[in-house]
Amino acid sequence: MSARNPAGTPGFALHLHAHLPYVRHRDAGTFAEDWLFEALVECYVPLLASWKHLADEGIPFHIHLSMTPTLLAMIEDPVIGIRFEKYITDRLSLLEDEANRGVPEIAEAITLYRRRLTLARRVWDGAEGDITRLVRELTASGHLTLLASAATHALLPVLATDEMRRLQIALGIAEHVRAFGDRPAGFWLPECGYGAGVDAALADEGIKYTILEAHGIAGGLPGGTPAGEAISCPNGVVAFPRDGELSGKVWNREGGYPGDGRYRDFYRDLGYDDPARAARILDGFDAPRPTGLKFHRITSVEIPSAKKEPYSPREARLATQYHAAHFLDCIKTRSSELAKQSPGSIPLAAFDAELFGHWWFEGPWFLESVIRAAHLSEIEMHSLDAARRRAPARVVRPSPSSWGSGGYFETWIDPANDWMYPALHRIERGLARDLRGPARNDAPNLVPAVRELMLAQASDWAFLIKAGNVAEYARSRFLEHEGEAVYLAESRDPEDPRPFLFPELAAVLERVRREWNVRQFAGR
Amino acid sequence: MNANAKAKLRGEDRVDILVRAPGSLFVYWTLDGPSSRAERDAIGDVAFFDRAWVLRIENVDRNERFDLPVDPHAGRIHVDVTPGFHYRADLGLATLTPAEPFAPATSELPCAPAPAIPATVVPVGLVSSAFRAMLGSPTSWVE
Repeated sequence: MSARNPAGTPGFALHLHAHLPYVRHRDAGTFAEDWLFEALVECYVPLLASWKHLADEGIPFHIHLSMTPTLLAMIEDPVIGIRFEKYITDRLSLLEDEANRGVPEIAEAITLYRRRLTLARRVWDGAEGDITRLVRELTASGHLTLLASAATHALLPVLATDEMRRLQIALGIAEHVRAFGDRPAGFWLPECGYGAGVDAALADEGIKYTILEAHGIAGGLPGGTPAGEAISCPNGVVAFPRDGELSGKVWNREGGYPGDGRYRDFYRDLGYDDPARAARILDGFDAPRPTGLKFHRITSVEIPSAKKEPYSPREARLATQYHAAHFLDCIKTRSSELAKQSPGSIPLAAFDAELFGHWWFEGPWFLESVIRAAHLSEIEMHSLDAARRRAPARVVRPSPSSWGSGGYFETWIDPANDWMYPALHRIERGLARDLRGPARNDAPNLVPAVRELMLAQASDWAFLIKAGNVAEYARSRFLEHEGEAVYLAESRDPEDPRPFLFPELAAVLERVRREWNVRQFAGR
Repeated sequence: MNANAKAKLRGEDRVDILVRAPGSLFVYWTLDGPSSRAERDAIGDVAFFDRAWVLRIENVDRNERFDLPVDPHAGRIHVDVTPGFHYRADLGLATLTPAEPFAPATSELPCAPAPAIPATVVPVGLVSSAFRAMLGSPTSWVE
């Protein structure tokens, strides 16, 4: 099947995947919780505000969005809400302190940050701390299509058991339904990771379509699928190929738009330039680390951090206009190329949502420019759910694949992090065996043990250990959850360290266990 | 969790394969299950671990195999293979004979995929004049 564009005009589909690992800690002020707050200020709120603005203007657009249960759990946590308010207040104080220095070269950036922080507070307060309300509104108006994703962002192909793959998917869907109301037709695979058994688990949970890396479909059996063409997995789940060339315009570290010298430099930060001043104003700031306040532009990748030039939001914003225009040129070219190979195929660009605003500070401006320019030039933003219904699909068994470096699983199974899997799989197999039988009174901690195991399965830990930047934090988080899972599985005293996290877990476990038992009796 | 499941959490003789990439497998093993325990009880820990352990990698589709000497304590290894075939791993002793038939663990049978990464990359080029003309003024949803 192709993702058909009946009118034959250029078009594309866009998916953004919003995810952070569960980084809520008992104590406030941890650097990991700052990841969430920075993403809220720089990414989630600006994107939602931008989309709301466009929708109110009557500009048509269509974006696919997934938000993981770990991210949703943190956003809806009232303690996080209180800490976010403090984060904004502290950053505004630090910003005023910086403004009082009277450095004219960064005045424009200070104004921008002040507005961003104020906007975040206004949107957060306006939604009473529930920004998923904005997501629901944009979904109801037809501007967003929501996809579910795995419960804790496990890389599904490297799990040891079908049972745990199924639970990651089932809980991801259940938490999605709890947050947004509607059952999703689409599912975003963490890290775009596909392997044997994944599509069967998706089909078991009623999922209709997903997104794979293009080489996962090109390398499938039988071969010969034209580039850009969606396929049907043997069990009926439709898989759309992520267009590597189009996505690479934004994604590629070298040559991608975010590397332009006019854009804000991600690494140089007030927290490194003047940690003593940051520590005086920010609670919990006990060592040099990012504050989110960055006043320099990339300038050039060859230039050392100390010699970066001051950041000009005005110039950066203009750059997003040109890059948006170039991106749409590429969409036109790509549409034409794909149409020659498979008439009506739609190029699909998919990204981490955090790329837009967090890693690439100007990303929300870029996306808004893309949407406006697409509207003016009659480039359609397509719905995957509509596309999957339009044409018959050729049946292909996809190849294992991911969107990580190398295209397979080398990032998550590396000499730096491979020690995680024997321990992880041992507890996974043990709990899976327990889940296959009927519920028992002598396993009082099955639900919390599975929850801790799922938290240990997050692909983030292996990724961060391999990347090395915050490897020790990732290692300790993995060991904490893996150790808790083992302890809870073997303890006969009822206890639950995180009873508030994933309210749907007990019901999902019960439902899936019941279905397994029925199948077992039916001989499947 | 029942006693049987708890025992399985604590001790197994098994070898597992994870596919890293078309030409690379990650193989790991544990030797603390009933089979190993019985052998260790019979000959002692030193003799048990001090023997010539090998990991046998079998290309099942081609009926080919090769052996890699391994340290049983290491517990894991990365193995380069030819893409596109099914592989099985056996952990055992280099001197397998009918008189010494100890091979405690065999993996399941995953397939290393054939590589299918497209090599073409579209370079970032110039913005067309048509799109330049189409662009409006910067928007003002926040700033």
